[in-house]
Amino acid sequence: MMPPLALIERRMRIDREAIRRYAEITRDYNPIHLDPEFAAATAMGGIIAHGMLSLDLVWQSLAATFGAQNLSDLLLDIRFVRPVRENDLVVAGGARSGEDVYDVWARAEAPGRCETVITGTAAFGARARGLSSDRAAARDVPFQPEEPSP
Amino acid sequence: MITFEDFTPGSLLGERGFLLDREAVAQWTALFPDDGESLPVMPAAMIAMVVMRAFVDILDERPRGNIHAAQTFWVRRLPCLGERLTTRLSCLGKEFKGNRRWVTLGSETNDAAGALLFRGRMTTIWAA
Repeated sequence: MMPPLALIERRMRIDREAIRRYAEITRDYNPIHLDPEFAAATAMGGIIAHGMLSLDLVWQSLAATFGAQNLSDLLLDIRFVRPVRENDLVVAGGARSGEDVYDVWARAEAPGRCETVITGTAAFGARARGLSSDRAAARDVPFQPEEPSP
Repeated sequence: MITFEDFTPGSLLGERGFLLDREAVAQWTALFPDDGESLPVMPAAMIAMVVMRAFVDILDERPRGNIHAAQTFWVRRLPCLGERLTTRLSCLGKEFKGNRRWVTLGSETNDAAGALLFRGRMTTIWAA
C-alpha cells in the first residue's frame, strides 16, 4: 500500500480555558501563559499558549494518519516558530517529503491572521534513527536515538 | 531561582517518577478526547505531560517567562496504562546568542525495568 502523501489534519480552538487546563495537567504555570499583565510586558506582548499544547495536534495528525498505536520508533523534531494566541484556531497536518519522512506543521488562524506556528519533521524507523543522529551532530548536542549498549 | 549561569552542560539535573494510571490519562483525555483512541497504549502526545512534570518539578524555581523554542522526541515504545515511568533530565548545552540565553535540556524516560521508552531534547530561551 502506498504511504499517504498528506497527513490527516486535526484542529482545536486554543482558548483561555484550554491553556489553563493544559497548565494544570503539565503543572507548567509559567505566567507568560496565564498572567495577562505579565505576558503583556514581555517581548511576546500578551498571553501565548504552551507550545506543546499545539504540538498535541501534530501528534493527533500522525495518529489519525498512521494509527494511534503505531507511533513507536518515531522521531518528531519541531520548532515553535510563532506564538499561538488565545482563541486561535490551531490546525496541524503534514506532507510526505521522503521515504518514511513527513514535513509537519501547525498553523494558527484568527480573523485577519493565518501563520505557521510549528514546523518540523516526523520520521519513522531507520529514517528516524538516521535523522536523529544527523541533527544531534549538527547541533553539537548529544541525542542518541538508540538504546545505549548494556 | 535557577538562572542560566547555574546550568552545566553534561550534568544530570534529576529524575522523577510518573505512574501512568487512569487518573492521569483521564486528565489528559478530558482536554484531548481524540487521544483516548490509543488506550491502553499511552497517547503519544502525553509524552509532554510526563516530561513537563519532571521538568517543572526538578527545575522548580524557574525564572518567569521562559520560552519553549524547539522540541525533539524520539519514541522507542509507548507505555501502557498502569506502567511506572522514570524520567531523567539533563543539561545538554547552553549558549548566549542573539542577546538570548539558550538552554538545551535532554530527557530520557524509562520503564520499570529500566528499558528506554522515549527521549527528548527541549530548547528553551531562559529568562534570567
